[in-house]
Amino acid sequence: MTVQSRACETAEPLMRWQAVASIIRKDLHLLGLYALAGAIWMFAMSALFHTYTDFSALMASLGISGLGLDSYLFAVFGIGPPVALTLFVILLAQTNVASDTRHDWLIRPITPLELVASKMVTLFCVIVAPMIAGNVIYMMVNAAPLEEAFAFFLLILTCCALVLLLSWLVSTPFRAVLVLLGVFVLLGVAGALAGAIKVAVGIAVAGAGERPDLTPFPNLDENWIVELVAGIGLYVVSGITLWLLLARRKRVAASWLFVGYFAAQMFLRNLLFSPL
Amino acid sequence: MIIETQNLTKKFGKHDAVSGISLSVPEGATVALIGANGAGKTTTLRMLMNLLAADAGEARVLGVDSRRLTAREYSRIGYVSENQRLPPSLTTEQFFAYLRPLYSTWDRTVEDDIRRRFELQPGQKLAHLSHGMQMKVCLAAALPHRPALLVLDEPLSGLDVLVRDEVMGGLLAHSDETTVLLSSHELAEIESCATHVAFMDKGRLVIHESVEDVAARFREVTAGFAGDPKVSARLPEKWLTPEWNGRTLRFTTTAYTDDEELSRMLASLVGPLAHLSTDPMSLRDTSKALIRAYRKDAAR
Repeated sequence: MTVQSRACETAEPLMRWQAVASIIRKDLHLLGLYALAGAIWMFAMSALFHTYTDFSALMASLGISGLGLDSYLFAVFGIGPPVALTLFVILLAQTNVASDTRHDWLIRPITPLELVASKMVTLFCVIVAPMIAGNVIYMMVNAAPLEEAFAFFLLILTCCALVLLLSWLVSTPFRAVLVLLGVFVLLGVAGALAGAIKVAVGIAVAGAGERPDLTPFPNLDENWIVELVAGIGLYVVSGITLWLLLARRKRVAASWLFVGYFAAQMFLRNLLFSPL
Repeated sequence: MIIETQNLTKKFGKHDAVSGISLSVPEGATVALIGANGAGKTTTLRMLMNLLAADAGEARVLGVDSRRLTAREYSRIGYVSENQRLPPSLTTEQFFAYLRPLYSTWDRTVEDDIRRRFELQPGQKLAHLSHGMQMKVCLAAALPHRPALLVLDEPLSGLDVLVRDEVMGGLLAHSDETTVLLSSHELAEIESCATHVAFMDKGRLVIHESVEDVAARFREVTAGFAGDPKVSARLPEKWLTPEWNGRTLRFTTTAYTDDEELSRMLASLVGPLAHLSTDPMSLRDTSKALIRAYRKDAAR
């Protein structure tokens, strides 16, 4: 029996949970303190602060309202977590660098599905679960409806997944931050370009000084069908990006596809749906 | 064939890193991929492992297109590279604990034996290990799942003589049924285990044959001539790097058959022979002669 035929006989499943668990254990060894700190922060944030007035209330309860620390607290607890979470997701992606051919894990029997599953479970445990737990406590203390505790968690998980994917397209955390900034610039350019086209067409049609709104489908702005199509498109593009990156090692093509999707979406939304 | 490539090509910008190589590695063979720095060995191995995408041509590894290697094939491959990056904050024990569940065929006895043989301390962080110890970890992590194919890219690079012996000892002890493709500059160490030789120069595969065939046709020749030899005579291209020292000509022949035939050729081309010696060459000397000859060609 040849090696090839033996290889064909042993069909591996798409995802092995023991492999997923092993990757999670490895990541927690590598990011132990960051993960713990992230989970505690998310829990504390969700349990204590939901609105800007929560900061004022805390100051008042401590009898230090006069110090005007509300805005500083807001900066630390309101803006800090998204930044810290972004960095955590970038670090999590970098524990399995996909863009550098020297990394050991690339030649290990890890399927793309196992890799993504392990990261999503880690993100859920470190970010989403503490956030929900904190929310539940906040809602109970404030006698608010408990279902609100689960609001936005899918959106947060999706955002984390997108940052994770974007981080996989670059080789270092520093570059990941740069690319994230670059993406925001690109989105701005795409939006501005669409606006400029509409203005230019408006001038051509109505003459200088006139700015008629030529948005073809303004009523479809934020329409649920459009959002559904965009959401499905995002999942499809993310899947293809991962396949190009992890199975085909085509990092450049994967990067352009992923970033290009957002830019194209921004451009089309501004051109077709957003009123001028 | 465990590995088969057809016109495999890779360019980096305008530079041809690998130019249309066709290589085949039979089951059970140990193929030594040799050549000077920049010959394209590492790029070839990375393409075979689907770490790099080829620009043209194709490669099949374990019967599968190398671009479509999946976890199923990787579970039957052991790969070690001198540049391999391990998770730095893990200890040796944590690293092996992470690897074990990834392989259904992981053999704890083999792992324990290699780790004992290489004296790998369980509590040491991988980032704190020397290059030699890291290479030992890589090798120890490439064998316990009993891979059908072992691909080693300069596994002995930067290691001292003692560690090289330990690494080769560990490798030989646990890879008796494994097909090995090995690139290395440490030819003395790999000569004893190599069954085939593939020599690369500037991205091209120049020689690809069994060690016996190479040993049979390569000879270090020293010929002394009586009278006035024709020093300016045009010599066959198969005689590499000819050098005159007085009436003595030294060169490496790549087409040796027997002394009688060689004597006849020398006498007809250069002049009457006074003495002739033809010495068998080690893999290291063969490689040196080839590298020197191709460098000379390139300089011309």
